[in-house]
Amino acid sequence: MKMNKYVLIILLGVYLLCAASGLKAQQMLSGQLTDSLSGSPLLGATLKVLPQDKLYKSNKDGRFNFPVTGAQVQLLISYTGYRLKVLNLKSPFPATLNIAMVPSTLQLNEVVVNTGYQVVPLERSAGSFSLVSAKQLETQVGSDVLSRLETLASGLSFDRTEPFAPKLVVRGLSTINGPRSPLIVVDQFPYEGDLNNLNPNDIESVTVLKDASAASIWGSRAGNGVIVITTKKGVYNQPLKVSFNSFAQSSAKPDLGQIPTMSATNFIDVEQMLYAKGFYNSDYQAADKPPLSPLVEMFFARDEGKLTAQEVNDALAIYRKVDVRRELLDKVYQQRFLQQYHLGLSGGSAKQRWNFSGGFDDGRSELDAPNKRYNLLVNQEIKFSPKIDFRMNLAYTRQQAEDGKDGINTISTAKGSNIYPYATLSNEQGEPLALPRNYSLNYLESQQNKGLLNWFYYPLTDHQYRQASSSTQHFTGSAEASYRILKDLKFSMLYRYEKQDVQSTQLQQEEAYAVRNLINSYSRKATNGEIIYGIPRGAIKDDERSTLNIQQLRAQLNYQHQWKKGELYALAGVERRSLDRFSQSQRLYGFDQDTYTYGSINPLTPYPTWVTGSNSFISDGNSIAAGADHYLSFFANGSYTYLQNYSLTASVRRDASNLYGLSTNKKWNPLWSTGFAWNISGEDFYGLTALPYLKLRTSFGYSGNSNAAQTAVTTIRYRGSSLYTGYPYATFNQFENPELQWETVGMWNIGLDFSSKGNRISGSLEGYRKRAKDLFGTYPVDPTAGVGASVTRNVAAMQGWGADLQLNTINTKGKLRWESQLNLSWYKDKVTDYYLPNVQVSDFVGSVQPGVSGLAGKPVYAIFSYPWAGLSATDGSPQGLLNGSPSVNYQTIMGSEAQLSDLVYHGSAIPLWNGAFTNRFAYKRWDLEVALHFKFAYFFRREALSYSSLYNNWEGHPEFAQRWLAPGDEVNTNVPSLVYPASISRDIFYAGAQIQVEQGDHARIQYVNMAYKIPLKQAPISQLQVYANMANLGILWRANDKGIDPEYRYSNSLPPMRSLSLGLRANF
Amino acid sequence: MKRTYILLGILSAFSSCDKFLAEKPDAKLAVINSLEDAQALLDYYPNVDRNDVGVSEASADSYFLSDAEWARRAESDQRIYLWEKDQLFMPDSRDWRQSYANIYTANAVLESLKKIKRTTQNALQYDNVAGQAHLLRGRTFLMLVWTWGLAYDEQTAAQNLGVPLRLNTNFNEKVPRANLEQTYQQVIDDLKAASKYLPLRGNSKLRGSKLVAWGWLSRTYLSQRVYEPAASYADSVLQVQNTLLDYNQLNSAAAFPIPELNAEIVMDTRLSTPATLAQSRAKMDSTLILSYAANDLRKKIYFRINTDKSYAFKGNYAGGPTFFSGIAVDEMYLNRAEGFARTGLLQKSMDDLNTLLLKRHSTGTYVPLQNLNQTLLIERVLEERKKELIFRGLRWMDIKRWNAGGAQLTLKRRINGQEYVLLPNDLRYAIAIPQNALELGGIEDNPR
Repeated sequence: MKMNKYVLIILLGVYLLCAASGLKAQQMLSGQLTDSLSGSPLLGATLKVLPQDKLYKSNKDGRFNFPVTGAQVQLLISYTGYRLKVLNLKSPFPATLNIAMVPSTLQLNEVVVNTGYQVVPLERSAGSFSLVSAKQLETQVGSDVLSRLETLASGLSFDRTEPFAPKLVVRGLSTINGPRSPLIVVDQFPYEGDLNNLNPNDIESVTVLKDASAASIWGSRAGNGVIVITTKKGVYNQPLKVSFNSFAQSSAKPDLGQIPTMSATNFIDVEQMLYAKGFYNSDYQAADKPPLSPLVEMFFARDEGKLTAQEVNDALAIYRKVDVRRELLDKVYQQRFLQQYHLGLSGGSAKQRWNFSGGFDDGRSELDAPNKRYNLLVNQEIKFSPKIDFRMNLAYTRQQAEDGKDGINTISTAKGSNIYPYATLSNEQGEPLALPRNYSLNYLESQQNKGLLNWFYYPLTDHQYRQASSSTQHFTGSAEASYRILKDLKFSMLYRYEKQDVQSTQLQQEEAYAVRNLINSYSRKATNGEIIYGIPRGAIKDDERSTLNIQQLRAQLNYQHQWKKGELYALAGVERRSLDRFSQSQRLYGFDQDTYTYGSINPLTPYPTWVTGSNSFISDGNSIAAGADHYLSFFANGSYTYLQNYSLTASVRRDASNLYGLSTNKKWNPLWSTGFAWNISGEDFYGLTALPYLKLRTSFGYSGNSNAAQTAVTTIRYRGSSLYTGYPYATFNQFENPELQWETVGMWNIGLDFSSKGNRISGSLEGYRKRAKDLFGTYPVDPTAGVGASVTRNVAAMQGWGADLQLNTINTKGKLRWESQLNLSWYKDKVTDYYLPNVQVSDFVGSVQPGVSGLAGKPVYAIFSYPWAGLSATDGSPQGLLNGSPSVNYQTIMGSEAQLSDLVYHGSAIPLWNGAFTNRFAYKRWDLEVALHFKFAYFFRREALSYSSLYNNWEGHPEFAQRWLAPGDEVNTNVPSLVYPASISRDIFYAGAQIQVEQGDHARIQYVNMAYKIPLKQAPISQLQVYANMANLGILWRANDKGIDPEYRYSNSLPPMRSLSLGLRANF
Repeated sequence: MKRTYILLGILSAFSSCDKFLAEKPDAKLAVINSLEDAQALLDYYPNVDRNDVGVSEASADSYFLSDAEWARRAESDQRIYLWEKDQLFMPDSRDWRQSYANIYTANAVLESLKKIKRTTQNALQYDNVAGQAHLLRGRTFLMLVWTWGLAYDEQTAAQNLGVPLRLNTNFNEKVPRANLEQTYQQVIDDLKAASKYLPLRGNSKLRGSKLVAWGWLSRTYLSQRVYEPAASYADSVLQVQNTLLDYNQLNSAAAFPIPELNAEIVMDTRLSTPATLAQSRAKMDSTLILSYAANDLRKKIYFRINTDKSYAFKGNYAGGPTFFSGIAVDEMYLNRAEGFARTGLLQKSMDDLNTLLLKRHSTGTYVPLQNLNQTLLIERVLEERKKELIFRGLRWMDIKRWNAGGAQLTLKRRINGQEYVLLPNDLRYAIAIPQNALELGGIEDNPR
């Protein structure tokens, strides 16, 4: 039996540094390692000698010299960025071995990819991966990791078509209504905690698993792609290394001017008109005293003789010049600050390696809300014997955040988040002024001397009486032990415990508006005139706690075997994973901070409320919830490589989960994939010297998408207890649907990896197609069926196609080194099946936020609009087309008789092209990096003026100023005339008209990073770098001429502001 | 050996798979497999007891809208106000959908009961749950047919359209509209089953009881113009519960003078209040206001005066601005009085009216009715129904059935100077079925 049959593949060649020397010499083996393209010597390459299992390194000239025993040896040579070389040598050995190493891929720093289950050399993988190294992450600043990936990983993008949190997307959609987010894996296990817990400085690499072959090992949760984050580890045989990084970042005040609103003077004109029409009469009389603007209150006072016309006109003149955004910017908003410090220590001996790091982030938001983060990370790997090694990893994060001031979106009123533009927050003396929040100011004034607490809301100072803080503690502890049962068979057990504990506390003092409002609402006057409080006076203290406990256990067998011509790698295992959620919140009324006492309320008796006198219960503010997700999975994965040129891979996984009530045969969901890779440049016939590396790979497989919210039996949900009967009560949660299936996504991928001579041009080009079937869709049901308006069924199917190009070039070498990286992704999808019972054109036009079109043959998110026929010359009404001629019959244009062919189809709401172009310049000690990011070929619908929203919700729009006023204006404007009463269908038609659709194409400067290495003379510091980073520099080019940033186009989402960071990085 | 133990230990960590996978993903979820679960569904009052059909009151004649208020309403509400022949409901309108959701709940409860064994220990609770489900289904069908069907007439009931009678939880099944006869028969079957299974009095005014079922049976027969059982079921209720509130004891200056869950209430259910009827919008019909005598306390207790001198409805038995539509003692007196009057028991009828009205007028000022002939007495009962049962979900049905019986009540609206008229027995008294129910359910709309 030949010993060299059992070869240990060097998986982490990049980190394996050998310190062996001074061995007994029997026969010396010497030679030189060079780059096959440039011929330059390779320093620090690892040479492994088998069967002795010794490691050596090449010196600075690429030379090596070491003793070997025996007549036959195998030499495995690995070097970062180069293909593994295997040499079988027989005695007598040649005097000098000249070995040319072939560069492996475009990636300069990576040859391995981490799938979370194994570390695979990219070379023998047939899957599709995007790799991002720590070095690449370093050129951006900020406290989170994922946002940095946008310019770095091809095929990954952030979807900003919806307001607020952007959604991370890997290669477009794989589902229509199911969960969208990719699975995030941190060091071998899915991560369930808050992703902001992760400190970017602790990240060694990020691998995006893009195709089925790469991701299917993760089974039913991998349908949307997988992002594997690997944290930094120590290095064997390395003396203590210390690294330090710190920066300070400051961002400009938010640009409130971006919020579409109308001028005070226009708004006042509208209010005057509405008042004259009696629009406010019912609100004025209403028993619940809804808020009115101060001006409307003055009009009523004037007409009741309480104010003179002169007094009203004086106030009007002042109000006309006010813009509440100015005062907010001045008195409320500030610059945003962030400071970050990170210290890392690492080292290793022959038997163990370790890493320790600590981080501290200290930030303050534009609303003066402080937030802090503390990170600790410890890991260690010990080799107890050649057969047994042990790893452990501990990570602890604490995030602390407090609430800040009331900003423009939190100064809410009964009219939603809108405020009239002439709102004033303080008077000339700087004293805070009240704004109407729940009730009319006039009414509150009339209640002032009735013994109640002050009932006014002062937005400038209210935050002083509320202390809200939350603290997130996150801990992961993992241990892995592996035992080599046979030379080529290894068994490992992995366990991870993850716990996240979020505690939030809010103490609202009696002076806080919310408390005063609540106490007053439940106050009533006794017959003797005294006030009786339903809610005890004093502060209100809310405490909330939610915990996540995750336990994951995995047993895995790894088998590797090498023959003369082929290698087999296989793994199989079983995994058990449980996630338990618990949350509880409680409230104390009448809390006294000095004595720690509290009062009590009676939640079971309805109290008459002050304003309307209607009965209402006082909420006890308590709640509790718990739940669990359980998964049990079996998986296997294998690859066989023949002659180093042909690799065949396969993987299979079966998941079972506790999705409620699914019958047992549906709990198990098998998913598989297979792939093939061919290293063309390794063939004898291959003679393209200009392109020394060329690899073709293809894969196909299925991954799934589980949605715990979909079940197959009728379930009910308990909703607490009836206040009337005292018994628990419940509603239906889900209606029985025996036909419900898991969603599956089949994906086919083909890719070409290449690099030119000297790595001047390298990269990969990939194409893929995915077919998703059995997708959940909302299926409208007959309202007579009794199960609401719609149910979820497997009604939809979709197809997606795409291509990812990653191109790295070295444009100039020498004194000025200029490198470019282009990530370009093309993605297109279409619905192939969707159940639509009746086609109503208005469903396809939808709202500003794009919705699922659900139209076979069209993109999942498609933008349609009503054809526009200009404004009517007679009254300035928006006109559509009815039977080819201009019409204002909106009911018919948008009604059930209208056909889809009557609509204008623009295109996809999701960009077809998505990309980033990064240029790096190095000159002497200077480094400059500029990253551009762009999205092309998509459409969006902009927000339009709606008279009904303006009248009812104070929702203005700047285009009001351009509205049609007189015949002839229709030549110059498309903004409809003001009408009263507002016609909702007129507003809806105008909002959905062709003219509101804009092309979303744009390019922006994502960041500019400049670094300078400070020259050092023999100091203990090995490297000292200072850097400056500018981010969110804004739009470079956009297709729309309205000045709208297509990615931050919603009036309630403010774009991130320009930021400047200065930092320092040092290594000892 | 050692290896074997390790192996066994590892295997056991992954075993017990059935229990592991049977864990509930959310502790608050359950399948209906106990009487408590079924009761919990029936106890969810925000759905079950607060969604009585309200669009009928929005169509009726107790109120009017000013031009400005009408203009501010959604188009569907404007159309309802003007008795348009179609397009009355937005797709998300609740009246129809939530009524059928409640019927689904009742059906789900009844189906779940088939899987639960009735034993001597649980018999009372079992029957109670069954009775509540029948009550919910029966009264919901009744309110649907009052609104979307024409007035019941013995001669034509088999030809006229009723409502779809969904009696199981299979939501894929297409159920056509039954005729009026079948619909009323189903209502009576359900309510009689309820009165059989339910306890005499419920342990909460939000749950059904025999009294409640009888009250609904009285309403059913009254709307069919079958007066003898209408009176006798009302009588059955009054034999057990007949306390009337004395309005002299109430503080008419209060925002809501009548307390919630008061002694007159047999079961507290509420209308799904149409936006049109909100206190600040709906102004009370001036002839209705004028019909209250000076010593009638109801004028001050039910209404408040707006700044423009019009009247707004404060609300009555809900203790707040929502509209009570449940069974209460005052209505039972009126039902019995009408039944007596129609069947010739004139003195008994007058006694009932006097009992009720005595408590509605200032102490010592009420002059009892006497010696009225049948026609005048019936007219008086009808007038008192109008004055007592404001926004109780009954007025539309009353107008319909009286017109079907020969009364000549013509409804009128005036908007922007134009008058809109609804003549007696107009087909539009069966209002238009929501479009999505027509399109998705494939059912027949009311003839126009």
